[in-house]
Amino acid sequence: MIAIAIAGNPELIIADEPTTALDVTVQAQVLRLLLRLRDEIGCSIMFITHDLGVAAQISDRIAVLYAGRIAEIGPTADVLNQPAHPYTHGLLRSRLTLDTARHRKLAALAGSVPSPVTPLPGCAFAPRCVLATLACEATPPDPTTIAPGRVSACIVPFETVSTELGSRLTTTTEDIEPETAPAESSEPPAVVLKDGVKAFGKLQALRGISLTVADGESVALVGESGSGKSTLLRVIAGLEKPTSGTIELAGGQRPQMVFQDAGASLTPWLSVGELISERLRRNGMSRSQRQDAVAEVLERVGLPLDIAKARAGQLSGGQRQRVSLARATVVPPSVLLCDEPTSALDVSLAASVLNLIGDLRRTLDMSVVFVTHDLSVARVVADRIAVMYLGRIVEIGPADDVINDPVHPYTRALVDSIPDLGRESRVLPGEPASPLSPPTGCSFHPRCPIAIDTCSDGQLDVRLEGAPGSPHQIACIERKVS
Amino acid sequence: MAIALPAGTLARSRVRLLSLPKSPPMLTNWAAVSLVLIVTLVAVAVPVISPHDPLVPAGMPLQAPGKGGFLLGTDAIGRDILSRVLFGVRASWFAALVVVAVGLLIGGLVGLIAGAAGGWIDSLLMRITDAFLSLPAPVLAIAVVAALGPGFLHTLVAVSIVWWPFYARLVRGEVARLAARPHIEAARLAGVGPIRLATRHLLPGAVPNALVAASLDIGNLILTLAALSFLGLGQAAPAPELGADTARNLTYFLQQWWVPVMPGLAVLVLALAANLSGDGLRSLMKTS
Repeated sequence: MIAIAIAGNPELIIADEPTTALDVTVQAQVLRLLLRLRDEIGCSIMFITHDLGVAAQISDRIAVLYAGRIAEIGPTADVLNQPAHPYTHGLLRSRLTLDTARHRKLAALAGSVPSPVTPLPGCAFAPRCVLATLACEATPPDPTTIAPGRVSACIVPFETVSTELGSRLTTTTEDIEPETAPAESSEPPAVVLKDGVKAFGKLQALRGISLTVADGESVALVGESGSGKSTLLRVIAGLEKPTSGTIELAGGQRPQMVFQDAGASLTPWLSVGELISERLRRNGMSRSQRQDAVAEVLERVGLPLDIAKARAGQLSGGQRQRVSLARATVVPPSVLLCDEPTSALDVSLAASVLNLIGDLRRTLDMSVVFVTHDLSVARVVADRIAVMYLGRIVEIGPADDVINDPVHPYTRALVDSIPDLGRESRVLPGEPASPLSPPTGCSFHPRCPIAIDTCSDGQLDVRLEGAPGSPHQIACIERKVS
Repeated sequence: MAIALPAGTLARSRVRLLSLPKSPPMLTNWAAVSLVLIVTLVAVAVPVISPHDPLVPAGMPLQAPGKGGFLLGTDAIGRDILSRVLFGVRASWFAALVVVAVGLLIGGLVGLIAGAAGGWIDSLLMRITDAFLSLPAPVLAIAVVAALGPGFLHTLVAVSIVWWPFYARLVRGEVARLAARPHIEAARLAGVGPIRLATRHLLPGAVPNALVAASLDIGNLILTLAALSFLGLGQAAPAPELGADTARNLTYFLQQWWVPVMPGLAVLVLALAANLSGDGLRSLMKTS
């Protein structure tokens, strides 16, 4: 794709979210490549992205768009460090990073983007803006120069925005009561998978995975595409039968699942109410009892009651994800499986959906298994993180330990590839090997910076190991938990 | 019977179909679709609007169209051609609707079971369907008529036997395509039973394309039925029948052209109306 774009020595390359669907490691490679090409050809790049971290990495200037207008434009460092528009503030606040407070609700912008069909008379952001005044709703604000090279379309003076919102940044989110340490609960574990192996013909998706999810615990599975994390989730869901190995679920109850593409997981011609109440049919409830239950669950996921009559096609992305959650939890399951439920949503919506999953988990006392390729998401939703590579778990442990103190070279590479404001991402060379023929020994050795000869030995069997009694375990013969 | 179907028109349109037309092209499509309704209404009203008895001579034989108050003229024994054509239209149209309905019902059921169940059930049902599909309509009609005796009803039975496999294949294809979509997996996980899964989560998605195919198919059926009655496999002699009337009166073609041509034209008009409405329906589904 990039080769085609540069073939004619262009003056300008327009890149429309070129890295959105990619893993962080590949994303870092692509960004690096684009910057190198720019310097070699001497062209300009217009880069479209919803990820401020990516924007920080690649751009000299940033233009923030909202509802068809430029909210603010200026040099990258200035815009990110001292945003002039309340919307930019909101974006930066709802952004998840590896430093986001864990036991706290995530900041999310209230409301939603106005409909492009019926534009508002005044500033389009006014309904969601904490600084909005009556004047904001009257006429659209003119772009004003606030500093050399910086323009913002907001009638509130730059200084006011900075002082008002700068201070709120740290204080607005409410604390969730610190979680009672998952003490040795008397309940049996929700999921016990032993030596799970799944092969699709020659493709080895899972190559021996043992995972126990405690009652009420939340576990995140992270890894690049092809690591088998989604297959593992489907095996737990019972959608795939493991080729070998055993799986036990608490109470034999079927887990419920929230899919990545919530729209596609809702039958398009059935109404939301029908889809939700369908799960209650086996319980021998009367029609009105079912309706009450639907109303209750819709309220619980923060949706208005009349949405029960709508069909999936009429809902926004965030609403669809909430409907999926309502459908999954109308009969509370013991295990809720989430397959990248927020990867298709923009930052602010993603934050509110993650908040909702956390709330549901606490109030309904469910275990959660959460698949994501985004480590910052994993850190916020999970008690424990399991890092997967080519069908195996290479590192597993408490979320903070895994992110702040990654031990396995692959986890380190993942953490290092995340683009962030004011931080160069380091590039992990290569791509995962094909699961059709995983490398011998430790399958990460071809990309591993510290690999030694023994790592490629066909006889080598790397097992998860950790210090005695420690929940932090690593599958590496070179690095151990100290 | 080969009908090109638009890929991926989903049943989301079920809601949309009921909304009012919004733009001129939509209006044209709606007008085309309503042709089916108009023709059906005319067919129902034939006994009332028909000026004469189709079986009894009403005036001088072989009168040209427009003469003596006979809009389409009279045939060799003085029967009103307009009345005969109207009753012929009524018979052909209802026959076509019945065969299409039977086809949709049997074919839809077989296709739904095959597509929803998959595996060996699918293979078995589809091989049976293939066997029926390989029967040539006229030959089978002759065989059935030979076995059960002549009669319009027997012809319809024969045509229905060769007609439903087309719908079975169509519905099975649609259902199998839908069955691979994530919403079926999600419904299974939600604990939806197999029967509800088939009828509520799969079938509604196959209905729009099946309806489009069916309305396009009415035209084919009218032509096939006319051809069969042309061969003498239709209604018994005095009864008005478009294909048979054309065939019996071909000898008048050079002198009194209207006698064979009028019923033939009616076949053309019916087939055209059916095809136009099918196309209209397809466009409506596409735009929604």
